[in-house]
Amino acid sequence: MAQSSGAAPEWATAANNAGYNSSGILATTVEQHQDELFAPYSTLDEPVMETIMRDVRAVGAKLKVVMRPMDRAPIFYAAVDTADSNANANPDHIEEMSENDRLIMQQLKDWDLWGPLVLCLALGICLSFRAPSEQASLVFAAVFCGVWVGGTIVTINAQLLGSTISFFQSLCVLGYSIFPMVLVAAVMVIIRWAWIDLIMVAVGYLWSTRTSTFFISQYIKPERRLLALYPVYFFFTFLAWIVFYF
Amino acid sequence: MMQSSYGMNSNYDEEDDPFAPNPFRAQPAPQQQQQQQQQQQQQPYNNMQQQPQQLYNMQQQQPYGMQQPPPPQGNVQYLSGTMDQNAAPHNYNNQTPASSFFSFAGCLNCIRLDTYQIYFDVDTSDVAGRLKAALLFFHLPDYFRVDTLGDDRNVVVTSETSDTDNNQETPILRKGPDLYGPLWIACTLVFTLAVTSNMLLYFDHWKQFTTNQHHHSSTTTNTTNPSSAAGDFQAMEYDLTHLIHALSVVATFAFGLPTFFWLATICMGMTKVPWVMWICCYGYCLVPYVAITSLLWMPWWSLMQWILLMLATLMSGCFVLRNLANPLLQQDAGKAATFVLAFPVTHFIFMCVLKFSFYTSTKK
Repeated sequence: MAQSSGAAPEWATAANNAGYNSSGILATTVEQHQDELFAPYSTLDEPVMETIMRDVRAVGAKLKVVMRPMDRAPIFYAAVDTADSNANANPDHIEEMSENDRLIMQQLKDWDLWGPLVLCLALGICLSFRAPSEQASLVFAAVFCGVWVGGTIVTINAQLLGSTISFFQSLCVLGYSIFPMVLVAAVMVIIRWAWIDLIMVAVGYLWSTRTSTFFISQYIKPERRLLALYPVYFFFTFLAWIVFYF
Repeated sequence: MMQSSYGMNSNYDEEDDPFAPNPFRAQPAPQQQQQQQQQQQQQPYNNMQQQPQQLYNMQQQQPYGMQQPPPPQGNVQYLSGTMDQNAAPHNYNNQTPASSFFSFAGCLNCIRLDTYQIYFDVDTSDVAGRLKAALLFFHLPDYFRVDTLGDDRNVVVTSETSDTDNNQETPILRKGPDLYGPLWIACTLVFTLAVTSNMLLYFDHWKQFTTNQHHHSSTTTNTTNPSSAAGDFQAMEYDLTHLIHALSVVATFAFGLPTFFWLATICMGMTKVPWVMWICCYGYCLVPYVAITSLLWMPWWSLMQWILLMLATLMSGCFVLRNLANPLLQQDAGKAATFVLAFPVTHFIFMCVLKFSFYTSTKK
């Protein structure tokens, strides 16, 4: 996956992870930095481990981004932004985001699909592990198809509603957002008490919807935000039901 | 621009203003619209061989309806969404269709995203209004089609209440049929059916388990989740098959049946109701079913289930009948009578399929 982050030297990725950007930085300056970082850099001579670890670190960084708490709850963001947008036209929403949130969005723009694939496989394996042997392959196939087809439908829906979201970027964010559900499914392999299961699935659901809600609501008009977010909630409800019931 | 070459849709450029003005609210091209009108008037209505293709071509250029142009009034706004007579669906961002392969037949436009984008030009308030109309005003003749969707009206509809200080009537935009509602109401119904029918199975298991306990007074595990191997196996088998059955049943009823009706009316010469209107009406008629099936998760008596389903079918069938019968009857009263009869019959069959597939317990 050299196209996503392969051209950047390792020290630059680490600097981004450490939150090197100072406060008050505008998006244009960040772009200039990234133009410098994406200068031609030959990766032919590096050891294989280095190549693999670059993508592993990128996946790990995005997993940390998904689990990191936001400064403002996305549900309130959707409600508050309506008033702000009516008052002053602010299509880029730059000064409304805090520094932390802006960092998160910047990291999520660097999409890759290894993470969603690994997470989807992990979820399918966890669920088919809990199923009886006759049903295991059916459960795995259902989860795998459900995640990818569901993500595709949610993204296409957002695009049809007029957002300028990129297809693979949105698929990447949705795929990474199922990480809390994977954790819940892994814990539920061991613990199967009904009420604890319910609480864990509810917490996982709330955490999963947080990042993807925040991300998708950036790219869509306030009048249609709920229309684009309902499929996201529906997708995670479907996953939560499968994780809970199976 | 690191992101602009990624993704399937190179039309969408994130570096631009994400809220670019909607091209379907652009300035109209009156000449194109007048030409289409002349074409429409020249082709006779009963020229059956050319009619389907003609209709299809006109639907390409004029995405919804074949109505008169809006009369020039004082306070009129340009219509948006599917009611915009002068919108050309292929001129998104002033681009012609990408390759000549797609413009070869015009039929392949059905797999392009751009052709469907005009039917998703709705806001949250629009969809909320349509859902409310589907639930509350299903009995009013033509209310949903004319007042909510804006069919047969080319001018802006004025509101009943004047919220501004002056006495001018404030215009409300009617946007025509949409495809967002049918798609997500159908998905919601599939999910609700699968979840509630599985809850019924769970209650059946539980009842059986507790009755077995009373009979045998054995000291098995006292948990209430179906963790026994046999119950788990059966529950899971029913889970997935219920989901897949629900998907096929709802997809057939919400998308296959209206498409079939549309083809039949086209072949019989009643061309007034376009395909999108069929899908929209059948999509929003599922709203009572969603409401009722979300109540059916409790272990009611069988009679109560029948009563609730009958109530939903009545609301839904009335909705479809009131909105789709009139334009068909206006065009051809004799042939349309078949369809008017077919609407309640198909709804009744749908209700029976739901009841016997999802809400009948097979074990005793």
